[in-house]
Amino acid sequence: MNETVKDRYDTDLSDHEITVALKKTWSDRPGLWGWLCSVDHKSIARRYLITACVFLGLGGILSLLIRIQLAAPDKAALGPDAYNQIFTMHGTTMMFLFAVPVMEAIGVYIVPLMVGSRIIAFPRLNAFSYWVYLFGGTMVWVAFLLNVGPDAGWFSYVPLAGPEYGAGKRSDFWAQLITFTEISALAVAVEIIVTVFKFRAPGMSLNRIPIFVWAMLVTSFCIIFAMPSIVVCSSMLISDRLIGTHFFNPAEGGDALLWQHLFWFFGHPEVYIIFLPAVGMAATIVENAARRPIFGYPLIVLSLISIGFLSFGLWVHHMFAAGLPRIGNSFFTASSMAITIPTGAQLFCWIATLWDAKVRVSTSVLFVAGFFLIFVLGGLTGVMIAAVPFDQQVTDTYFIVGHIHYVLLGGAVAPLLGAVYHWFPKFTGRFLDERLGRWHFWCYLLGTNLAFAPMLLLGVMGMTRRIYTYSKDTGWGDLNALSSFGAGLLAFSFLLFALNVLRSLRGRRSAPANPWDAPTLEWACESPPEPHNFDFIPLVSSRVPLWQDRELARKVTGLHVDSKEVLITRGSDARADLREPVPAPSIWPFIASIATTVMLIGSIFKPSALLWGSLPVGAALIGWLYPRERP
Amino acid sequence: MKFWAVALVGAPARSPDRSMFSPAGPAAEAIARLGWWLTAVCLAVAVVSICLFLMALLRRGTARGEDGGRKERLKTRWVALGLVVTVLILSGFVSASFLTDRTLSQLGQQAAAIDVEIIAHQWWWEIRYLDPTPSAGFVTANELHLPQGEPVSLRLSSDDVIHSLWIPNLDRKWDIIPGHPQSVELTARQVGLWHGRCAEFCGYQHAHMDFIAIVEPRAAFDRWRVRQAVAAQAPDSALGRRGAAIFAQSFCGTCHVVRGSDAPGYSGTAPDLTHLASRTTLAAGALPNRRDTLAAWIADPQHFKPGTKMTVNTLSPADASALVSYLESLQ
Repeated sequence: MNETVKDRYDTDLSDHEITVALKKTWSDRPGLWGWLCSVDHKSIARRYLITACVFLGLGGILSLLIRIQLAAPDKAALGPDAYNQIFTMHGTTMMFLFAVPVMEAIGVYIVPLMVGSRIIAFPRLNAFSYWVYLFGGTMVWVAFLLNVGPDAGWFSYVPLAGPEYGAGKRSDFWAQLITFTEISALAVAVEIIVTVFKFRAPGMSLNRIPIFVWAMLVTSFCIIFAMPSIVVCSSMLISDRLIGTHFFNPAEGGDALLWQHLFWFFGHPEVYIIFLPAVGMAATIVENAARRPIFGYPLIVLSLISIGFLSFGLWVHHMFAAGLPRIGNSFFTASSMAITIPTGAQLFCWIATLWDAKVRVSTSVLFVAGFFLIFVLGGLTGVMIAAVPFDQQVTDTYFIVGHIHYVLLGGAVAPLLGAVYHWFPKFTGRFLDERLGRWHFWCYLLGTNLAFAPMLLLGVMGMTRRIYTYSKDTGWGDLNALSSFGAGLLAFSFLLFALNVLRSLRGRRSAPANPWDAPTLEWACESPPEPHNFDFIPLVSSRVPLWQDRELARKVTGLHVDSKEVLITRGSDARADLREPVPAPSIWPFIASIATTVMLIGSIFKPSALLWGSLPVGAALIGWLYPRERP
Repeated sequence: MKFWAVALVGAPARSPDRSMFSPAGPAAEAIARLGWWLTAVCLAVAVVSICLFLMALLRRGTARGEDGGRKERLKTRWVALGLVVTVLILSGFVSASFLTDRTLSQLGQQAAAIDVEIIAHQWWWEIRYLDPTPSAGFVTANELHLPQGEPVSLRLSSDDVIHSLWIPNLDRKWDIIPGHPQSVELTARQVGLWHGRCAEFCGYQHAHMDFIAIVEPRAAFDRWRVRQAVAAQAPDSALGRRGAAIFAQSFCGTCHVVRGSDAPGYSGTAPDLTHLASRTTLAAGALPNRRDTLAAWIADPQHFKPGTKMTVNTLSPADASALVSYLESLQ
C-alpha cells in the first residue's frame, strides 16, 4: 500500500467509500490465524459468551447430579468423595467460570458500542484475558474429570483445603484456577474503566452515560478493589501447600480465620460484581419497554455507586457464627441491611418509570418481571440473615442455599436472560422466537421457585449444607424431592433456551439496526455491527441519543479510514481530545496466555516453575509490546 | 400472627424435631421470635413490592413521552416515601436484631453449674464432663446430656479442621475453629431428645457427624452422670470375656478406650467406649445402636461411613460375635 492511500480521511470520501474502507481496515484476517490474532471486542465477547454458556451447561449438569443424589433419603447415586468434588465444582464453575465472565462478556460487547467507540481500550489485553479464562477453566475441568477436582467447597476453608487435610493436588488446582480468573477479571476491569473514561463519544458527559455502562464501571472498580484480596489469600494457600509456609496453620502462629476474612473481603463484593451488571441490564430493558427515559437517573447512578462502596463493608456477615466480637457483628448487621436502601431505590425508580407507560410485554420484559418475582424473595431473605441471631441459626443450612440461588437466579440470571433476548438481534442479526421465549420464561420462573423455595424451608427444618446424604427420620425427603423436580424443570427451561438460540441461528438474518426503537448508541450500528462499529463517531447531546435524533446527524469527522484510529475524549463532559492509533491484531496475546498457563499449571507440580516459567511469559510480553511503527 | 406464619410456611411447624421454630430452650425461643417477625414483615414487603411492580407493568399508560413536571414531582414524592418506609423497616430490623442479641448475651452470663469440654474430630464428638474431683469426671462421645433448665458451660475446640456445633432446638451455631477455642453457655428448658450436628463442611463424612442432646430432670441427669463416671465392669459371660480379650489384643484397643479394661487405648483418637451400650446411636449418628447394626459396623465401617478412620475388621465370625457381646455388655 502506498502512502497516499494510507493517508485518506473520512472527509475525503463518500459515505459508501468510507464504509468499505473502514470495513477493510478493521476486519480480522481470514482463517484460523486471523481468528487467533483477533483483537476485535465483538469477536472476543462472542467467544467469552459461548465459553461461559458451555460452563453454565457443565455447572448445570453438576447441579442435576446433586439434586438426583439428594432427591430421596439414603440414596447412593454418589459417594461422599464424588459428591464433595461435584458440589465444589458446581459452585466454582458457576461463580468463577460462568457468572462473572458472562457479565464481563456482555460488558465487553456492549460497553464500547454504548459509549460510541470503535473498539475497547487495550484490545490485546482483552484477547489475552479471554485465553487465560479459557485455559484456566479447561484446566480445572480436566483435573475434575481425572478425579483430581477440588473438594473443599468453592470457598476452600482452611485447614480443610490446607496441606494437612487437603489431599493430593485437588486444592492446588482450585487455587490456581483462582489465579487464572483473577488475571482475566482484572484485565477486563481495566479495559472497561479506560473505555468508559477515555473512549466515550464527544458530548457523552457523565450525566449522559447509559445506566448499563455505569453499572459496568462500578463493577469494574469493585473487581479492582476486591481481587487483590483473593490474590493474596489464594497465593498464601498455595504457598502453604507447596512450599510449606504456615500462614493458616495455628500450630505455627498462623490463623485459619485469616483465610475467611480475606476470602470474604473478596467474596462478598463478588456477589455485587455479578448483581450490578444485571441491574444495569434490567434498567436498560425497563427504559426501553417504557418508551421514556428512566425515572430518577441520578438516584439510580448514585445507588449503583453506593452499592459498590457498601459491598466492601459487609464481608463479616459470612462469619457471624465464627465467634467474632458482638459489637463488631452489629456493625455488619447494619451495613448489610443498609445495602437494601440503594437496591430498593433502583426498584422504586423502575416502578416509577413503568407506571404511566404502555408496555408491550416482550420476553425480555417478562424476565425483568422474573427479577421481581424471584429476586425480591432472595433480597428479603438476605435482610433476614443480616440479623446476627437469626443468621446464627440458619447459616450453613439450606436456607442459605435457597437464599443465594434466589439472589443469583433472580438478581443476576433473570436480567441476563432478558438482556440476551434484548440484545440477541444486535449480537447476531437474528431474533429469538418470542413464543418459545415465553415458554422458557414460565418454566424458568416455576422451576426456580420449586427448586429453591423448599430449600428455604429445609434450612429452617435443620438441614445443613454440603451433606451428601441424609437419613429418612429427618423428615426432609418430601421437600427435597420437590426441589429436585423444580431443578429438573429449571434445566428444561434452559434446554428450551438453547433450542431457541440454535433455531434462530439457523434462520435468516432479518434484524434491522434498531428493531426495538431503543435509545442507546449500540442500536445505531448495523445488526450485527460492522467490524468498525460506527461509520462516524456520533456527537452526543442527550442521555437517550437515538430518541432525540434517530439518524445521529451530528457526527465527528476527520478520522483516518485506512488505519485503525479511535477518538479519545477527556473530562467529565467528554471533550474530543486526540486521535489514537489502535494496536493491530496480534498472535502475542495468545502466546502470552499459553506461557502463563504453562507457568501456573507447572507451579502446581514444581514450585520452581514460577521462576523458569516466567521467562517465556516475559519473552511473549516483549513480543507483544515490541514497538513496530510510529503512527 | 403465629397462625398465619404457620399457615404460610407450614412445614417447619409440622416437623418439630429439628426445626429452629420448635424451640426447647430460652436462646432458641428468642431467636424463633425474631425469626417469625422477620419472616412476616419480609413476606409482606415482598407481596407489596411485587404487586406494585406488576401494577406498573400492566397498568394502561401512554405510549411514549416524557412525564410532565407535576407528574415527575409526584413520582419523586412516592419514591422518597418508599425509601423512608424502607429505612424505617430496616431500623426496626436492626433494633430487633440487636435486642435479641443482647438477650442472648445476657443468657450467657449466668453461673454455670456444669462444665463440659467438647472436642470436635473428623467425624465425631469427644465429650468430656469435667469435675473438680477428677474421679467424678469422665469422657463419652456423640451424646450430650443436659440437666433441665440449668446453664451448662461448653468449652469448644477442634482437633483438626473447622466444625460447627448446632442443636437447632436449643441454641444457635458455634463455629469451632482450630486455634480459636471458645467457651459458650447452653440452657435447655424442655425435657427430650434433641438432634445436633456439625454444620460446617468438614470433609468426607460431614453428613455423618451428628450427636444427640438428651435433656432430663436434674435427678435423672445426676444418675446418668454417676453411672458414666464408673469404670466398665468385667463381663460376666465367658463369651463376653473372650470378646474383651479380642478387644484388647486386636486393632480396637489401639484407639478406643474402655475404662477399667486391659485395652491400652489412647484418649482422643476414637470415641471412648466405656459405656457404649448406653448410647442411642453408633458412629456419630450413622447407625442406630443395636446388636445387628453394631456387628455390621464393626465388620465393615467403610461401607456405612466411607472415609472414616476406623479400619475394616478381619475377625472370624466367632470372634466378631464375641466382640459384639462384649461391647453390648458395656452398659
